[in-house]
Amino acid sequence: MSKKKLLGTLALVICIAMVAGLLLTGCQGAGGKKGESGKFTFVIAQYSNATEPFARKVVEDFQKENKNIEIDLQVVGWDIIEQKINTMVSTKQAPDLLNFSYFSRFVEDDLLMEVEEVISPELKEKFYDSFYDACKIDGKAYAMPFLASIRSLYYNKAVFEQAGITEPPKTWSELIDVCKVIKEKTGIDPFGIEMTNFEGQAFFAYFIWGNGGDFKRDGKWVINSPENIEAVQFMVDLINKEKATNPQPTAINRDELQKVFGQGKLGMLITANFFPTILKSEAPDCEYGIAPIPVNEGKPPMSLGVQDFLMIFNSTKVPGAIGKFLDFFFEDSRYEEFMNIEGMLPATETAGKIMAGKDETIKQFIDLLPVAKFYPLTDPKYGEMRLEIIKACQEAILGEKTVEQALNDAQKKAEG
Amino acid sequence: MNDTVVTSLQHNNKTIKGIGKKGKIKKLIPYLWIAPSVLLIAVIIFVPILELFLTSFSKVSLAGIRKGLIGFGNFKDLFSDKAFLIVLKNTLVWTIAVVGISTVLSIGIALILNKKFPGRRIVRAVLIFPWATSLIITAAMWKYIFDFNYGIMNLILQKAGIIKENIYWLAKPEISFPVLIWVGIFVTIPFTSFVILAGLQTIPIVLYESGSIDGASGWRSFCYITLPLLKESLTVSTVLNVIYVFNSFPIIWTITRGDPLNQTDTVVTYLYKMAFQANKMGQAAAVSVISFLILLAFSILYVSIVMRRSD
Repeated sequence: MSKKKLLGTLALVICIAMVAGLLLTGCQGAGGKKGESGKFTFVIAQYSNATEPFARKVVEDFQKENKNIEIDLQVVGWDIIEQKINTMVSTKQAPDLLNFSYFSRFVEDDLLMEVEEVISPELKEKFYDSFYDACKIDGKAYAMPFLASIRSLYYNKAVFEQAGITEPPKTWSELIDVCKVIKEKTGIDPFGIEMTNFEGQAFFAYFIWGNGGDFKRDGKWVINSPENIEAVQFMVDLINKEKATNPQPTAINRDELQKVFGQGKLGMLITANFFPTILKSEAPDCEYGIAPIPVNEGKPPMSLGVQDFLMIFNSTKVPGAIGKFLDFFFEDSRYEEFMNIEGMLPATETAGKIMAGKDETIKQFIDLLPVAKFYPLTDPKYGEMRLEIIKACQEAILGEKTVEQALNDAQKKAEG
Repeated sequence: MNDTVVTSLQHNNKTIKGIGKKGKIKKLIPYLWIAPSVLLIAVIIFVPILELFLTSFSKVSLAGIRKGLIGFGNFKDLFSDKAFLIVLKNTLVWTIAVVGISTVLSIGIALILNKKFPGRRIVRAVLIFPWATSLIITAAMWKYIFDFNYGIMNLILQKAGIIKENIYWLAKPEISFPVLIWVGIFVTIPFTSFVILAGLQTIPIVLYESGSIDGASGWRSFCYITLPLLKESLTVSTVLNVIYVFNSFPIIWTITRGDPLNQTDTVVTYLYKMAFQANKMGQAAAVSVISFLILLAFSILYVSIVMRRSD
């Protein structure tokens, strides 16, 4: 008898517990916006060794405040992230939130959510317009800027002193003059150019933009425009005729050139704002100056901005939770800390102002952000065209084709 | 007498029949035991190959999603780019040069290692080093040795008075490709010479003794005793090396990335660029299918030639 009673009570307790559980989950489901609680995957690229600890801490802090949200954080190295994402997407296991350097190819396959459906209006307001606009395809933002870097001309002060040069070159003709003097008086290679698959397109961009050219105009590729041909010809002459550069630009990448610069074997190099952080640890004795990228006479100043993106896949079930997390992540102090750790520039104006107020060098870079130009990343074809452009420049440098021929052929690929 | 023989035969017959029934089941049992491995192989090897073939005949979006079959479109695109022909030629040169030269050198090394000399154990152990080290590390080391700006090779040659100005080893394919081949040979020698050494050790000394009694010189006994008896180990090392070297990625990727203009690319590095830099998965799969077929054809051809000869 007593056993039966016991079983009966047990059954009752279980029933009550189950009903209560149902009610609770029901309450959770009903509360607030759509998909505000639950679990989501966040894939972030590994910018440095400090990325993972920082990201883990942010996620932990966020989860402490939001007990009903769970984040599966995956920090992935740059060398394998492309393969990893490709696999995730093609096996229909796309992450919910992704940090990556491309996004348009996912838009083409209709895999991304419009950003404004997810983020708060306050967050949207924070981003630099130039950056946020670079995330738009047909007027709709499918990604948001994550962080940025900007390019400048770095020059070795010791080399300049030895050659008796006081001012870094502002225009192309000054650049040639300065190169000649450096070469004559020091014997050091004056100017660094790389034209490999690593980042050859950046040097293409420095020269064509410095001559008023561009990758695309009015939505169409214009790789063989007269401005571009003139600009690439100038670059090729700088290499082959003036011999003002490192001897084989097709055989050295930017990272390697940075090391050569650090050792004082290169007069000038155009590279990113994280270069000082690298020099500080690898070549602390190297004294350098920073100047704007030289442009052709009468052309407006410009710089190359490179930004990475955050995007939300439309397979996600918890857009509300992601929106909350993004607000949390982009809070100025937290975001500023992240930028300082990585030596990167912020994509939000609010953090930019704070950081510019604290550091003169950073201010110099941040001032360039509004005039930054970007690669045409909103075009899904860019990934392929990047390689075609590098190939064309290599052909021109190695004398396999004339500049015009090479760029015409690249243009054909863009149209085909 | 006869009767008893018949009955015993009948009896035997019965028992044989009995064994037959049980035997059928018994015959099946081994297949049951290997079924898991067969299944595993099917899933791990055949399913991906099938996927690969399917992808090579499909249109694949930039994000990597298959969008239906398009026949030979990917293959056509591939051959319309003359870069792929350069790549095929490079692969051929690369494979033949690395496997050929390292096999010849390895025979010499194995012959030396087979002789008794002081310190032989140490030399044998040292020979394994390049093989035991990770390929990427070895390749990176050679990249630094041949570096234009701080490479030790230029330094040595300058100090020795052989060159006056630094040589840019890794820029023009005329120099960089031979450098790549040299690194390939360097890492292929250990495996090859150990296989050949193992082969040498199976040759009975008696054969050389009787040969020398009959007046065979060193060269003759090498040609008529050593080489014929090494045939099996040479087959093994050549087939395996061709497959390894053909598919070798780290050396070229670390040192030149196939640049400039695909002139040091082989099929594998080209395939990687295709898949993960240009995001043309369909064409990358097509490259893969072609290299798979080349290797398959080579293996069948080579093994059948060797088998026929040994028959």
